[in-house]
Amino acid sequence: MTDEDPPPLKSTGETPAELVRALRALGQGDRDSARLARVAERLGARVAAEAAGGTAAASWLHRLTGTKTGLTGLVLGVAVLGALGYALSADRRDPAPAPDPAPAAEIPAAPTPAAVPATRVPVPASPSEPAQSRAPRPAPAHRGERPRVVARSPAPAVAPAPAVAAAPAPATEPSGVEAQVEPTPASTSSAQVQPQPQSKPRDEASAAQPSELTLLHRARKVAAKQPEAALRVLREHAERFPSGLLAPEREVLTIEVLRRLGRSAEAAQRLEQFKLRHPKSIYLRRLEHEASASDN
Amino acid sequence: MTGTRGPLELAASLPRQLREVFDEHGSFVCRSLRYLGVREADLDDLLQEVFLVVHQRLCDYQEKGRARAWLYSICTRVAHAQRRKLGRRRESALLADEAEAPTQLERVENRQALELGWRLVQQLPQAQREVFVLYEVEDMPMSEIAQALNCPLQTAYSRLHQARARILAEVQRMAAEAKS
Repeated sequence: MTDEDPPPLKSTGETPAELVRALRALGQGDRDSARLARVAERLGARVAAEAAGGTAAASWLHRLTGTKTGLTGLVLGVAVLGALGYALSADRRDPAPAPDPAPAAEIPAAPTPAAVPATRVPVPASPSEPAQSRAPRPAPAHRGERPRVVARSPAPAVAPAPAVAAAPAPATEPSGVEAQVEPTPASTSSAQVQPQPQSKPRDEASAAQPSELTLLHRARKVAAKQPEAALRVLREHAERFPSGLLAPEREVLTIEVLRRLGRSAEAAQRLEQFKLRHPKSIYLRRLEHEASASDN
Repeated sequence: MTGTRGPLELAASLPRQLREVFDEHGSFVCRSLRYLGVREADLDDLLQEVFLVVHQRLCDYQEKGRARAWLYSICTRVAHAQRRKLGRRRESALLADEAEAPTQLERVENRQALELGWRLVQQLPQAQREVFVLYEVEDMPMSEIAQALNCPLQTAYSRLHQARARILAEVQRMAAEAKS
């Protein structure tokens, strides 16, 4: 037994021809191209989703612990928590009366317990109502809170929240939020309050812009019935994510939509570009097959 | 320095690499899963599973030349996990539904060759089949195969010899049968 590999059966002359053919057939990759294309798509979506979720979670942790990002981290964290709290608060709103005691415990000195939570909560809860809403109704009712918040941040920024809280219902909201914010007692509150203004804009921006995946989904959804609309979405995708993770998928869909619209010259041109850019892509076979099918 | 590399950036850089691996070795992974007895119906899921593992471990993926050995060992684990999950003790359900699976692109003689290939390979015990297929079909060097299978090189050689003897005997038997 040497360590040298024996000549493969396929290449020795003595092997029966049928066996050679069989071995070659077994190794053929193209019969799986449709499957691979399918799985690539799923995988791309999954990985993209994971990446989105993963980073969010990671940054969440970071912010919560505040290890690296410090102040801003805390602030962003509060924003995130706030959003969550907002969601939760929907459920807890009904039991409005209950909340009173809890806040009181926290801020014994504060005359209006409800107000306290409000300061923190309102900001995150209503990302859509930014500075304006706060500024106008700054200090109205809450004394308990102001002291804390005001200490670090100019009164207006923090105080605004209360306006919302002033209403009877708000009291509940805080409870939801606070549950999660626990780690940040009165002392930290200042830190949280200040940063919020900054964090909001970011959150809003990301919320307003559909993700790469969302865009592609949107295009795909309308591709069959409204190819023109799909093309517009695809163009937007191309502008925003020129070399995104799903760029190949976008190109494939674009080519297919162009064909559907009868713009075969454009489709062919794109296909050529696609070949250059992704010479090994598993989509190539499908695209070429479809091309030849439509030619006939 | 490294701190400036945000998670987003990492996420953006990894998938491209993942895509390369997928494009280059996707069909190999697909075939490997079949060799390992995965049914056609489960192939999509397991294929995805394998590449999710690849995605998580891309950082291990340094020895480019050994990519297939690495991928095959992932396939092995994924396929075994699946088999355990299904509680299927039988060695394999290779090709149980392969007959209905050939794509429309396949030419007839190709299909026949493929069917013959599967039939022959299926007669081998799993351990021999793996070596045989990786060597004779996938053209992997024996040293890489031994790595993929996590067995000594000599073991891989002896399995190959046994497998070849069986296969050749079977082909001869079939030829004789056809003549008579």
